[in-house]
Amino acid sequence: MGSERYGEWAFLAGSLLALVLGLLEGLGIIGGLGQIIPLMLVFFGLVVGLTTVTSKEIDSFLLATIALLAVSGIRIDRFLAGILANIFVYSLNNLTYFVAPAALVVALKSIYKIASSR
Amino acid sequence: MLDLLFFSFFGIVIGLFAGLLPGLHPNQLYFFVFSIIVLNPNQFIVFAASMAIANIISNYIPSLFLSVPDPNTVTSILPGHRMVLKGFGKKALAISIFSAISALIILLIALPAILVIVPSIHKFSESFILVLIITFVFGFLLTEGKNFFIALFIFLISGVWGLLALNSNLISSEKAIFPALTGLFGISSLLFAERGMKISNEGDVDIKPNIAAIIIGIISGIAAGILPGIGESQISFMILHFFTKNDEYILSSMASMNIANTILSVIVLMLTGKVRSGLGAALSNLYLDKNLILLFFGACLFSAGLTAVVCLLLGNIIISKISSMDYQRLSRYIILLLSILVFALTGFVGLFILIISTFIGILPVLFKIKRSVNMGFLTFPVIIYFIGYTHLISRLLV
Repeated sequence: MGSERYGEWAFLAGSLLALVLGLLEGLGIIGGLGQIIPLMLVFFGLVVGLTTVTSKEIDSFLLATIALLAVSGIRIDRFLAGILANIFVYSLNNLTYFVAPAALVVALKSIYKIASSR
Repeated sequence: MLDLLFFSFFGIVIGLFAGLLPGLHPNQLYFFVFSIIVLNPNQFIVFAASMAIANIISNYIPSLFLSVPDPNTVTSILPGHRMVLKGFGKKALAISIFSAISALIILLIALPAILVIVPSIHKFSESFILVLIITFVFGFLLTEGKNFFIALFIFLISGVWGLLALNSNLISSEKAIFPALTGLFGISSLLFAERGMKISNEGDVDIKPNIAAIIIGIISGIAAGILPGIGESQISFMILHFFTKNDEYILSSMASMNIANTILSVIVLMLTGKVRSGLGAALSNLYLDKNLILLFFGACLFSAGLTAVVCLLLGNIIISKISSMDYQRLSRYIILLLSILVFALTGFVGLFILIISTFIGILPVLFKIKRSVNMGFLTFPVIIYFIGYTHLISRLLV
């Protein structure tokens, strides 16, 4: 398995985990977990960012992250209520916890690339 | 006498059951059984000894053939898996079983010397253990040569993951270990099975005892039994990379270490009153005099012999079944089985830990370094414990 395939699968797995956990938390199946799930997602995001995302993917990755962060800022409770709102909020939050650290690492790599090419 | 025989058989059956089923450990069963049956001290020790030894020996089957790790067998998964893929699965099992029984016999002979040495080492061990662990870890990482920093990086990744998974309020550390090690060492190996690969059946097996490997394993097991805060997985990670030569040697040492550590935990309990294992905890209410220790050894030898025969027969059956299957397809079934087991035993949280652990387990393959660097998962938390920061980590994770 090459680095690119690993990166694709790891990113997909992390995103799915974030969404599924959000669904479970929104439905109340798992709850009262404090900071540990976000911490684990942040950690996994860091691992994925540090070990994958090649130079040619940086721009599209950062663009996707900006879009995701913009969506997560929407006040969804104005449009949805109850369990649906919970599921949406938890899922998006978890996705942010996973993607943001990866984006941070990728952004740093991008800055380094720019700085070293000058 | 007949009652002791009965409880020995009973213990062997339970131990076999626990050893063959991944995720089930005698530690979970000791207290369950003792809560429903009232035993006198002799029956108690015979049952516990038989169960412990049967579990250790039968555990080699899922770890070798299904790549299912237990904290005590995790380091033998990699050489064991290599031997199975080369078609030497029966030999790997035979070496492990033979070494375990040999270690038991050697320990019985060396018992008087062990009873003298253990209290002295135990007294001084805490002062040098941290230096010992860090020295061995760096020594191991240096064997990666130009990949030292990558190996250190992945060691730290798996180490931090160990801190998160083993110290969280999501799941107890005993429950977290099964999905974590399954992901780090089990599934991450099975994912690389190639299409068309088959495991050959090597027929009759001829093994030669390696006394040096067995002695190294016994010393490692004694160290794991005496030194506080570290277990077989950390010791095997540290010592085996410096003293072992090939896969057969590692398997032989690991099997001897498993037995030696179990025996030592009971001897340490007898000499110092300190509990170092689930078996020790189960026996902690007994007054362990020389007669009970000899009865303990007798039950161990009886259980080892009987379990060895059963496991060798089972190994033959398993090899003949899996040698006709495409290994990639077999690996997928095993991955599915492991995932179901993880979910059944540890729920959604266990699956979550399994998935992340699998991706961390793949990292050494990606960066072309030894997979045992992921032992950071168990070793790094121990380093943090000895530095004294575990309570800080626990507070951060609440």
